[in-house]
Amino acid sequence: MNKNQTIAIALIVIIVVGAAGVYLFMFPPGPGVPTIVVGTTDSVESSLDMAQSYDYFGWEMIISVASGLVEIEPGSQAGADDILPALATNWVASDGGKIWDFTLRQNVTFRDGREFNATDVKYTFDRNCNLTGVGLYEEDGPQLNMDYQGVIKNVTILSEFVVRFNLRIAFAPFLQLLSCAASYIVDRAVAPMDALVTYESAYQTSGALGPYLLQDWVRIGGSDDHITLIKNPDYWNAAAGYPKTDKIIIQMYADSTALSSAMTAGEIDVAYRQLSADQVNGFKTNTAVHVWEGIGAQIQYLCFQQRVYPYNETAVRNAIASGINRTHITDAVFLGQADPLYSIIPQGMAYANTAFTQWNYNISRVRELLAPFGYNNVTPLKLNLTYESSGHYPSSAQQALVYQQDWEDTGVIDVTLTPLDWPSFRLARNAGTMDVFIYGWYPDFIDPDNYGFLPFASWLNMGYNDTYPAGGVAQNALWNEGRSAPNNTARQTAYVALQNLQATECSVIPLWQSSTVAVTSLAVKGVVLDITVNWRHWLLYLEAPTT
Amino acid sequence: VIPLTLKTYVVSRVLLTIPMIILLFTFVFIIVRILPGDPALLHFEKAVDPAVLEEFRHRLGLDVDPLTQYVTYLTGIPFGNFGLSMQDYSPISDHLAARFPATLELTIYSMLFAVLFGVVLGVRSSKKYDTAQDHGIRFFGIVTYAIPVFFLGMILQYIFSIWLGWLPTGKRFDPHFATPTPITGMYTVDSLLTGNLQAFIIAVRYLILPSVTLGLILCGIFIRLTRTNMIETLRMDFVVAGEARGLSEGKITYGYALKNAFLPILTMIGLQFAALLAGAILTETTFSWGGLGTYLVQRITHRDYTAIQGVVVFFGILVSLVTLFVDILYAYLDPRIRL
Repeated sequence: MNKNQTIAIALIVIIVVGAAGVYLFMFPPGPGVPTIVVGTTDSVESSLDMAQSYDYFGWEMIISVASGLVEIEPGSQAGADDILPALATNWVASDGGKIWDFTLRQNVTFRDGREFNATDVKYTFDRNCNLTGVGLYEEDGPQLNMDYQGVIKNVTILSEFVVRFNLRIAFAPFLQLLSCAASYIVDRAVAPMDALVTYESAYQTSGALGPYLLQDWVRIGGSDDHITLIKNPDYWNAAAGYPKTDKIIIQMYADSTALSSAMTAGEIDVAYRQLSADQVNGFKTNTAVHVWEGIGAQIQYLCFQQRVYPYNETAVRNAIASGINRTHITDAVFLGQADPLYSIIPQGMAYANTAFTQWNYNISRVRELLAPFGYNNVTPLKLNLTYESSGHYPSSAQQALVYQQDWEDTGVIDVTLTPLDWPSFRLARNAGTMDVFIYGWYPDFIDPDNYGFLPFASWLNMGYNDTYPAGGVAQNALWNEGRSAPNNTARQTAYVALQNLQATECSVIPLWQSSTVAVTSLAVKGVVLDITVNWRHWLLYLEAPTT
Repeated sequence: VIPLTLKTYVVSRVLLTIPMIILLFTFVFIIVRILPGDPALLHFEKAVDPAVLEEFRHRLGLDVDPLTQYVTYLTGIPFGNFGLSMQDYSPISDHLAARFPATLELTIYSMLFAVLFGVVLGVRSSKKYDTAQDHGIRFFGIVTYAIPVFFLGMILQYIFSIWLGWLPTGKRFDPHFATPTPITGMYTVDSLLTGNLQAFIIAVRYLILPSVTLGLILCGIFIRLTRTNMIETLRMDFVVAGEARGLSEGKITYGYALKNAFLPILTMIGLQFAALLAGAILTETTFSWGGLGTYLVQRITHRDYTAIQGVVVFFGILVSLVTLFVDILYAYLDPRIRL
C-alpha cells in the first residue's frame, strides 16, 4: 500500500466516523411534544375557508381547526339521536321544524380572546350562504351546491347566546346539515364578509374554535407538502381531555405506493385513505401495524338513460339488476374491502334497508324478464356499459369487466365496454349520451336525505322523470316526506317506502359501498371509522407500549 | 472555411435557440388546444351557469381567439409570465418558482453522482480492458441504464429505508424540524448559507436515495462513454511517453488521459440533462419529492391545461438553455467545433 492510498483510507475513516458522530449528535433521542404523524396522498383542493372548501381533505382539516354548533357522535349511525352538542349546548325545533333555536356555549374564546356568541353564528351563515346579499356564495362552493339558501331563510339573534334559524322548509336533517364542515363557525375577525380566506391570508383558514390550531401549512406550487396542527389550549372541550394528542403532523405523499413504503418503514404513525386493496391486505399480515376497518359513505350505482329503449322498460332494468353479482365485485375487485349495496342509502346509516336483495343474482330470472322483449341466446340484449377510466373512481375497469362477465354468463346479454376519462365522462353525462353507466356518490352531509334523491337527480340527466312522471313524482314526494318528517317514526316510514319503490323501479341500481381503512402503528389508539367518514384527529393518542 | 470567433459562435447559437423554443411552444400550444373537450367545461363538476363559464374563460384569457392567446402567451414568456392555473387562478410562474429549486437540487446531485460514479467506473473498466472486472462494470452499466427508474427507486427504498432503516423513504425534509430559511430553495445550499448544520444533514439524508436512484440510471451511459474514449486515449503516444518518463499511473490516467477523453462526456452531460428531467418525473413521484415532476403529474391529474402547458414550455426552455451552455463550453474548450 503506497502513501497516497494510506492517506485516502485514513481520510475515509475520519469522514465516516465524523459523520456518524455528527449524525448521533444532531439527532439525539429525547422527549418532545406528543406527536402523531399522519401520512396521506390528499391535498387541500382550494382553501380552508368554509365558503369555498368542498373536498374531502379540506373538510378533514376544517373539522380539526373549527367547530360547529353540533357534532355527530363518533361511531354512531348519524341518526337523529346521534347528534351531540358542540358550540350549541341545546336546541329546540318549532313551527313543524321550520324554526330552530340554539342556545350557545358560553366562555368559548377565539384566538384574540373575544368571546363566541350569537353574532358569530349569524355572521357565519350570512357570509357563507350570502343570506343578506353581501356575503359569499362561491359558484363551485359547498353552500351553493348543497342548496343552503333553499333550506335557510335567515338567521336572527334572540339574545347574546341564543340564535334562531328560520327555515324555508321543514327540514328534518337540519342538525346533520349543521354537523358538516360547511356549517362550521368562522372567525369574523379574520374572515371578511365579502372575501375568501386563502392560503396566502395571515390565518390561512376562516375557521376557529376547533381542537387544533393550524400551526404550519406548507403548500408548494399548488399542493400541500405538510400541515402541522397544534393543540388549541382554548378548545371548548379541553376540560374533557381533547384533543388527546398535542401535535399532529400530516405528511403528503405522491401516491399510495410512497405512502405504503413510509408506513412500512415506520416513518409515519398513520396511513389514511387511498391505500390499494393489495396494500391493505399486505399490512394485515404485518405484525408491526394495526389495520383499522370501518364502513364507508362512498357508494357506486348503475344508471340508465331512460329516454331510450329498452332502458325505459322497468322489466329490462329489473333483469339487468338480477344479472349483477355484487359479492363477485366486492371480492374479486376490492378483495373484500367494499360491501355489497342493496339500497341507495348505505348500510350503517339510519333508515337504510336492503330492498334490492329482491334482485339478487339469478340467471334464470334475467332470462325470464328479458324474454318478453325478444332477448334470448340468439338475439341478446346489446348493452353498452360506459365507465370512468381515469382514476376518478377506484378500479373502474376491473369492475366493468366483472359486470360484463356476469351479464354475459346469462347468455342473453351481450356487453360492450366504453371507457371514458372523467372530464369526458362528465360531459357525456350532461349530454345524456350514455345508455348505461356506473356512477359514484360521496355525500355532502351524512343523512339519507343526501342519498335518496339520486335516482331522480336532474344533473344525472337520466330522463327518469320524462319516462316515469308518476314514479318520479312518487319518489320525489317520499323523499320530501322524509326530509320534512316531524319525527323519527315518520322519517323511517317515508324512507322505507322510498327505498322499496326505488328497488321496484330500478331506475338506478346500487352496487357497492366503500369501506374505510386506516393503518397505524400499534401505539396509535382512538381511531374511529364510521359512516360520517370524518377523520377525527382529536381522538387519536399514543399508548405507551406494555413491557 | 473561416473559423468563427467564440463571440460570433455564441451569438449564432443563441439566435438558433430562440426559434427552437418558439417552435416548441407552438407545438405545445397546438397540442393542448386540440385535445378533446372544452377545458372550461371540464373544470366544473356539474353543469354551470354560462355567465360563470364565461368569467372563468375570461380570467384565464381563453375567451379570445387562439391567435391572440398565442401571441399573448408568447410575449409573456420572456417576462416569466406562464399564465394562470385553472385550479385557483394563481400565476403558474409562482408554482414553477416554488417547485423548480427542488428539481434543480435533485438534478444537480444526480448528475454529479452519475458523472463521478460513471467516470470512475469507466476509467477502471478501460484500465482493466477485457478482464472480468471490465465485463462486470459493463454489465452493471447496461443493467442500471435498462432498469426502470421507479423500480430501482423502490428497490433502494426497500433496502435502505424499510430493511436497514438508514434513510427516509421519501419527501425532502423531516417534518419534525424547521426547513432552512429559504434563499435558493435548495435545502442543502440554504442550510449551508445559513450555517444550519443540522438542516444540512437532514437535507442530505433525504436527498441520498432519490439522487442515487436517478444518478445510477444515468451513470451507465457515462461508464460506456468514458470506457470507450479512455481505451482509445490510453493507446496514444503521449501516454506511452508519460509512462516512459516514469510518471505515476494515476497522474497519467486522471491527469492527462481523462482530460483528453472528457470532451465527449461534457457533451453527453448536456444531452443527458433532458433525460434527467424526464427521469425526475418518475423519481420525484417515487420519492414524493416536491419538484416540477410531481407538479406536472398533479396538474395532469387535475386537468389543469394551462399549468401543463407552462411546465412543458418551462422544461423545454430549460433543456434548450443547458444545451446552449454546453455547446458554448464545448466551443470554448475545443476551438475545432467552431470551424
